[in-house]
Amino acid sequence: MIIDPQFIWNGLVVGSLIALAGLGLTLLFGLLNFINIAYGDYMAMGAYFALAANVRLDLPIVVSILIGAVGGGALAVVVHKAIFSKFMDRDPIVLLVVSIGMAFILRNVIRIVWSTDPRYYAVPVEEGPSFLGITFLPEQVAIIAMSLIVLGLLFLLLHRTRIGIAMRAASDDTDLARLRGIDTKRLVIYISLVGGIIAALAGIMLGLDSNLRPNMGFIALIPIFAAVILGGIGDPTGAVIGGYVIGIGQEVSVAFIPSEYKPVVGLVLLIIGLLTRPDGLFGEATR
Amino acid sequence: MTLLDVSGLESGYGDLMVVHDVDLEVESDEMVAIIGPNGAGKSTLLKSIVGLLNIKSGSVTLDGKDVTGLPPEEVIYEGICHVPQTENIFPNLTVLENLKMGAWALSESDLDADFDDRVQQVYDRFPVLEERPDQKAGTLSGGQQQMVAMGAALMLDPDLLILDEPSAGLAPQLVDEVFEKIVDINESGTAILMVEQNARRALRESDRGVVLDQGEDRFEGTAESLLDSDEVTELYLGTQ
Amino acid sequence: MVVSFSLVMVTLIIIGIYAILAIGMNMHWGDTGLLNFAHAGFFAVGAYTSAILTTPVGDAGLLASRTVGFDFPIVVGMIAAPITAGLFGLLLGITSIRLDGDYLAIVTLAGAETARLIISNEAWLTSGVQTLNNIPRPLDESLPAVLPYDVFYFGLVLLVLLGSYALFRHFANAPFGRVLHAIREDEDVPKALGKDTAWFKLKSFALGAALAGLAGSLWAHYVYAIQPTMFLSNLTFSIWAMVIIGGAGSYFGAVAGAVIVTGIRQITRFLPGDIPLGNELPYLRLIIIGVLLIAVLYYRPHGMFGDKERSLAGMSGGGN
Repeated sequence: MIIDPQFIWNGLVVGSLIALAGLGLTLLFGLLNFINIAYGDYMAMGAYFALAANVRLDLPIVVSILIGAVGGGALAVVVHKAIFSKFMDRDPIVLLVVSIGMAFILRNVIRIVWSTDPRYYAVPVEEGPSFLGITFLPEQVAIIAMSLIVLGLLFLLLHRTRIGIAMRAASDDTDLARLRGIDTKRLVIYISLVGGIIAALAGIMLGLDSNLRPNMGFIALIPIFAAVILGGIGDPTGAVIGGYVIGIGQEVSVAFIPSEYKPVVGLVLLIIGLLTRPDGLFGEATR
Repeated sequence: MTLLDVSGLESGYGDLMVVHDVDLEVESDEMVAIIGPNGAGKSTLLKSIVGLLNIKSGSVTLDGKDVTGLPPEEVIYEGICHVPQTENIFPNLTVLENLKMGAWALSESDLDADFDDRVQQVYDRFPVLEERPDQKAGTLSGGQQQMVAMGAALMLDPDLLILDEPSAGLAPQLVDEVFEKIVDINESGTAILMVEQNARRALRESDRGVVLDQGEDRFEGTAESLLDSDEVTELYLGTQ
Repeated sequence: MVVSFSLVMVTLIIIGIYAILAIGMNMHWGDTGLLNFAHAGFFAVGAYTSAILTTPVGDAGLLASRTVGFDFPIVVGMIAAPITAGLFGLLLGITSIRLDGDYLAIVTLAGAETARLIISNEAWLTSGVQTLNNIPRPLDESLPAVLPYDVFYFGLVLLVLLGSYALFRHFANAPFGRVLHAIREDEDVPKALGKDTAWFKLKSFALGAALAGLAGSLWAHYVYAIQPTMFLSNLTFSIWAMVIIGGAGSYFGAVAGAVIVTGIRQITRFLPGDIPLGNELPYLRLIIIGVLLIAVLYYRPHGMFGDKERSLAGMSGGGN
């Protein structure tokens, strides 16, 4: 049975989004060792910062995206320094619950400032060209292009710069990194910045793909978690591949099950993955 | 010239003290072996010296400078490099990246200048590594990982190399190779403080030894004197 | 400040139901150290089970989408709800055999969302995203005039609350509970002693879930109209906040936490209508709860009423 190529294209778009978001989450986890539920709200805040720049300040979308990204990065650093860093000596579960509290706060700040109505970026609504039975919407192309660029930049950062290699090292084994003289406390700030920027970009892409709602990030969290865990938590490459697997899996599933059940696909893939390969698809999980 | 001077060291985990009033010295060209039964606190002692554990009382002096209680990321800048027993490499980084991280404490200028030379020195010492610089360290064999760990520690050309059970888990001929390399490193001018389970072998290669039992330094002296001592042989040297 | 009697009663009923939910959560987290993020799902399953079994498909007009409905007495609903919720708990609990800590959290979270998705989509069974209306209220017409309905209902909720409190505390003090606590500290220990820890975890899951299902039934029959948006995962997080703030590991703490958190959320009902930021109040309340949660975790990690040793120990178990 031939799968409609439109689904595969959609899957690539959604997959790019999940892959990027997952990369940020897994980088943060690698160094901080706890699952940050507020990550979804970092995504949302980034999207809303960009919205404010785009719609309130009337700035072009590209500038707004940059503003959103910077805002997201700054937010993650501030939240880490003000809140999470105070709990670094505690059990990861405490940090998980703290992140829940943080999520409450961020999400409701969004509700207060921007209300709960769906919001949209000021981008022209265009028909996309059709080719080979696939409609390519401009936002979708933008999303894939952005993801590829950012993923490429991150790859360069993590593999070709000294500090990027240090990030991966500290993510592998924080104690050993300290033994080698790496100041892991400073590294945590850098990683929070990078993670926050990535989250913001993913949130903005989500907003471009559909719309902005206060709980947009939280809703997206489940497939993102699924991708990260499937790929092996802490492993950047795994998160990216996991993201595409989940994204394509979700979209292609529409051919077989009602589209409302897309999130279930992520869950099922995750459970299968966890039961068969608990260290992730590549066995590289760092926990 | 006394390089490392540990005096009256008391440390442990939380409220449980494992190391009691230990004195230890390493001269700048010596190789000193710490031996003793399991659970005697040998690893704990090493960890306290490099700052991975909190010291309750006592002092650690390096080259006259007080380094007691410095955290590991600062200790390395003083010239002490530590190779833990396990988890001593970054498994997801390549061999070369592991060596790069070993050289983290070098300033930018030092790094640019002679990073390649230093890497080549490590490769000369451990030729196996030169064959596979881009292989993920976690996929190497136990013996090869040990070499990466030691190579990384040597990237900084430390004054003192601290090794925690370097021969642990290795096949017999690899044990020989490891000890050979350690002696070689010592002869090139690096002082070595090592904890070893392979007590007899360690003493044979070392200048001096310290016997740690139940957290106390029960015996201390030149390696020969310890090997000759009936008491030490009976109690600690087993049948190796 | 106008405090009307009926407003107080409504608030008390809501607090009571949340307290029951918190008790169920405490068995999972406080006793067994399980990171269960599916509680809203159990609540939903119980509510909908009870509603479907007791609300016949009426001719609610052209928009009616539900085709399945029964006319059983409310008691049947209240018995079936904990059963189906408990079974759902058992199902999700199976994942806890192989997973623990944060993985379990995510899988249970996703599981609850899945349940909510199914409820939202299978309109033939649940009315989907539309409100499932006309759920019967127990003794609706038959109370003596002197007894306000809300007081009666609060009495009912209180009865269930006190009963479950006593029951679950009994479990906690029994050999069953001791094994749960041992699992919470370090699962390898009871395992080594020959206990089938998987089975204990499953039982814990099922019991807590069943209680949540009963709470769901109580909720459905009180508000007499339910819809999927009442059962979002935010609810699970709120209950977590209650259990933590009140003191994890202690049933009294769970109830106290429910009172505190729900109290804060409901307190604004009593404020006069025209204060500034009136529209934003619901969101401010949630922010306050978030801040309170973080503050409690920082200054008093054992919660307001928790047992220092027991709760802190519960915090260091699991998730490694």
